[in-house]
Amino acid sequence: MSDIPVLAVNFPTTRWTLVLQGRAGLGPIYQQYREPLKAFLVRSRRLRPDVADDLLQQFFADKLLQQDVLTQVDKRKGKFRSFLLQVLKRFHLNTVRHDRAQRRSPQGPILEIESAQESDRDNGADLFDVMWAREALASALVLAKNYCDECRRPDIWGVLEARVLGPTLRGEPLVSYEELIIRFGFDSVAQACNVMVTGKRILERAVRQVISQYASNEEDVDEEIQSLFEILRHGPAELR
Amino acid sequence: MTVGPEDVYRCNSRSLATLLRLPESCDDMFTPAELGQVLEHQLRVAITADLRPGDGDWDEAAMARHNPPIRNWADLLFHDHPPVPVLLAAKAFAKPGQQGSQTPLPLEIAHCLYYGAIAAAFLRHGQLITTLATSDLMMGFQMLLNRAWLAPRLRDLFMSALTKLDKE
Repeated sequence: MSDIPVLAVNFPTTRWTLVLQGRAGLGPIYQQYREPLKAFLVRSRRLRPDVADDLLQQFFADKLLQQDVLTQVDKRKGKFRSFLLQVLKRFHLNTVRHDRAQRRSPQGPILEIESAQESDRDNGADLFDVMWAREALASALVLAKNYCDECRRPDIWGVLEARVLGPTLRGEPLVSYEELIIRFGFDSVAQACNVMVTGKRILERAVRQVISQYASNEEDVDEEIQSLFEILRHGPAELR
Repeated sequence: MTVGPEDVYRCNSRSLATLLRLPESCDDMFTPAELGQVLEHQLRVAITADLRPGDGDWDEAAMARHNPPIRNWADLLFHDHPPVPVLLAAKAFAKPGQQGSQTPLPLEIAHCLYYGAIAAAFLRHGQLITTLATSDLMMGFQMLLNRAWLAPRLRDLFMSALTKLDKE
């Protein structure tokens, strides 16, 4: 039976490290969390997508870069995901107030503020969480694929794709066991099963790696996985 | 076309949730129809792919000298004179809960090998190489006989063992 390499996927830094680096770490944070934050602004705060983009750029430039808000994060208190959303909500509210003051118009802006302060009953926050979960899983998928490539084990990725990812993500039919044997030349059932189980483990480890970037310890990672599972299972099914 | 992160954004969120709860074993990965294919493959697998001579009192050369030679699992389980030491090693390999993470098999397939080794030793040598009570053994054979995907030759083996046990 061929040996399966031990998974040792490591990011150069954790997300929390990036956070604590302040400005230098903002690029990856912007890349990864832009879409969930934008989805929240569009859905919950009723902004047009282009306006949401502008606001997010302002948010990252002013709030996160100039004011270094992320360096105030206490990772022992609450989730990074919730923290980021709260900061954005306050930023949006302040922006609306600022706009009202500049326009000196007492009527329309009041409605805007009400809109900015409204509860998340419209599922905007739920959508943010779903988008966040999608971003985490998308990153994990890239990580798992890269790991299989680095280990030169296309069979592991191929089996994971044929038996788990294709059917789950694309609704593709399962590639039959007989086809797998032909395609990958497995000498034994144990070898085929070993590859299947290893693929699932690699994906699981990749998910944990991604989440550990913003969770402070293993217990938090477990809790966040459970939380993202519930979010995806019960959250809105809208697509981006 | 390979699956990519873009597929994560197109997928229904409820389906996506399942990726966060993947079972650790491979038991969930086969449909009942596929278990028949898996079993057929297992019967064709070389004994030495799963067992090593160090696992028991047997060697590969002696297996090859048997008439007919024993090379794969089918050769062993359906042989007229299967060597008991190899059957013991086979039973140990397939014993549920005894497999290490390096040799995973779907539980149902492991059951087939486990009870197959016992049935072969009992039918060809009159030896019960298990401490299972007769009633439990019969229940095990019956459980496998209820599987629609069971290979016909194994079905015959279990049926014969069940009949012989019943008579004793």
